[in-house]
Amino acid sequence: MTDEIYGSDDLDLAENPERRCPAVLLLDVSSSMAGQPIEELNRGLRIFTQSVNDDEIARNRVEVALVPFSTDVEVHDFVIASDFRPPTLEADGVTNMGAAILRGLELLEDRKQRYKQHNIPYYRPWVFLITDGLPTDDIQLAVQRVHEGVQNSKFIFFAIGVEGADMNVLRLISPQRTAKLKGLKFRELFEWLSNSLGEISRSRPGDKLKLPRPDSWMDEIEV
Amino acid sequence: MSFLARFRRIIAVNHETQEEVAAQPLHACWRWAAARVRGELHERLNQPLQDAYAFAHRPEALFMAVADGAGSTSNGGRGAILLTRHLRQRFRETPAEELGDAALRQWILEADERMHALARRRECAVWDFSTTLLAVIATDDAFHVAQVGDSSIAVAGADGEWDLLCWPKNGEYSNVTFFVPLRTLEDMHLYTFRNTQACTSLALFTDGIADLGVSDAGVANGFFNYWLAPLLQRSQCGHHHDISLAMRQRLREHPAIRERTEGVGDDRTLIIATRGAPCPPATT
Repeated sequence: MTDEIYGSDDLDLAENPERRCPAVLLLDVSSSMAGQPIEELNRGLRIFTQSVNDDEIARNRVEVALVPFSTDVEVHDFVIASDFRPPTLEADGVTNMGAAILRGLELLEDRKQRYKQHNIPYYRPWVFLITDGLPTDDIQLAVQRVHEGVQNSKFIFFAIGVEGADMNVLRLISPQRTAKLKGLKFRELFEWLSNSLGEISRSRPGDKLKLPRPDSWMDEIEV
Repeated sequence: MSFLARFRRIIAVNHETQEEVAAQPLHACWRWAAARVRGELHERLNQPLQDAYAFAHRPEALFMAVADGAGSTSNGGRGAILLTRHLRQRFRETPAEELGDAALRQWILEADERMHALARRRECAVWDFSTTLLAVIATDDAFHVAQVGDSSIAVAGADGEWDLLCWPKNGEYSNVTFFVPLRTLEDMHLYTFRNTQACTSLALFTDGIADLGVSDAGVANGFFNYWLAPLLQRSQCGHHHDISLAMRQRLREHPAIRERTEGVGDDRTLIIATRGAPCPPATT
């Protein structure tokens, strides 16, 4: 009966642009990260790349920007996960965290404007700050921008402290989402990040997000 | 051409051909079909269908509504059914001269209050009944539309060119939309389109269908004309149950749809209606 009514004609479907799921990684590469920490961070980034690319949906939706910071703030602008090639980061210099945060948030705002210009739907961005030290620059403005952005649902901000980090400063920056990394479990952290972004990138209006548990890498969480 | 530009053209055409419009039958002969299917992921996980639809017809107007219960809730599907049925009931009992966007607004607020009452009785959160809504009252010369969230409506003239009457309403982010119960009255959008005689076909649909038939570039004519074609072959007014059944089967099994919806949770609901002149039977 169905064939009598509809025949077997081809059905044209609309071509939909992929939704985008942006994430900014603010990575402390100051001299205190030298040695095993920076090696583990680089390894974590490679695992993140592999993991997000193993997810057919996430690889076409997750977009990553990297902002490694020490004395200088470096910028690797947004790129779709399927084209993301992690750089090998080297540790050196001081911790200009405030400047890095401001630069990362700027990148994010520019990206959102581009999405809007091209009518590309997008998810709420994630900003991830990973650091093992104390900021050596003024972070007052950065703190204010993070608080405003979080309050206005512009992004979700995570502050992750590696051994040696001043957790009080991280709590000041991100009172809602601060966590301490267990040892050097960057690999577990980046696997969790990849899986979480994968979950978000396939979520739909009204969906309840089921993010993976962070126990594998999180030493403590401050809520 | 944008919908508004097209719509202005429609009005202009109608003004120029008033005699022709007046010569049409007193009330349009609407024919329609409707179907809803579970999203592939919901089916696989044995989760309930949370979309709902309703329709009703009176000589002077056709009422249709689709609703998409929020996937994050356990009672979103119940909310969708409650809302669409309440509106249908109120459509049936409201005097013809009162049918319009103000009536739709009133009915939605009543359903909203019923959800609050139900939540109090069941001692659960009222948001548990969250559902989107797209409802239309189509009279001979006007469409009254109520929209909450990302369900939507498209219209076409006899040329088979489709346009959205209103875009799906999302928040800034892709996974955010609006629901009844209303968090604020601003989440409810009401529209009245007049001089719509040249709009001969209507399609109401939830976001699972929008993903297949609508892109940022606009509406895929081929997609909606595919579902419309069988109705254009019919001359009998009213609901065509056999077409609804076939539509349901195709929405579930068409290879192109299956390919696109694998791993997707969204239920898919479509009501398609036409008052266009029946096409002559195909000859070979």
